[in-house]
Amino acid sequence: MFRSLFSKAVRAVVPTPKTTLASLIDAESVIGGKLFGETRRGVERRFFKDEHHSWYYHESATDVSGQKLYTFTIRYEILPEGVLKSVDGKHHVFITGIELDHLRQAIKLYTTHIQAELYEQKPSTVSRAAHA
Amino acid sequence: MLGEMEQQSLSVSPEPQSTVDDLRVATLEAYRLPRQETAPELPVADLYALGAKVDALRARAIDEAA
Repeated sequence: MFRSLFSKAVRAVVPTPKTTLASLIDAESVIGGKLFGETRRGVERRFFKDEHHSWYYHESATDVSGQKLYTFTIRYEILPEGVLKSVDGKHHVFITGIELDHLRQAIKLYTTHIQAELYEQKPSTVSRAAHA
Repeated sequence: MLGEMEQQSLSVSPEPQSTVDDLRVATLEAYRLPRQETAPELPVADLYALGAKVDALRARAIDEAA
């Protein structure tokens, strides 16, 4: 899901090096997913920005047998008019109030955390994290 | 059309004590253009800035890896 989402997003704009940008986004998304607190066993969260102006919150859950319980992706597209939210590509609505405040906080935290935990590391560490 | 608009704007004679803004309003009214008080600030300008910062971090990492 993620690999295809990343590669699709990356393919559109950056000719080379595709894999590196996709890998960086992948590494960032792991850090981003942790911003929302601990998850239950079997739940995976990712939060990341694509190479345009959209942010994604993805969550999926599997039971102990590995059976998929649910999965959804929320896209927040930053537009001059505001932030357009859609869930699994549907239900488009501009967000306001608390939801917009929370997104703003998440994006600020994301920027701080990826800088500290990924990009301010030695280049070799960044490379390892990006290809983990 | 343009000549007509120029004539209209030239026909506006501001008061001697007119400020620059008065002149601007008079000119805009002559052209029948909507008045814009100030340049509108994007409600999400900070989010664009944070996104640009993320893009810059990625670009630098890719450059360093190359």
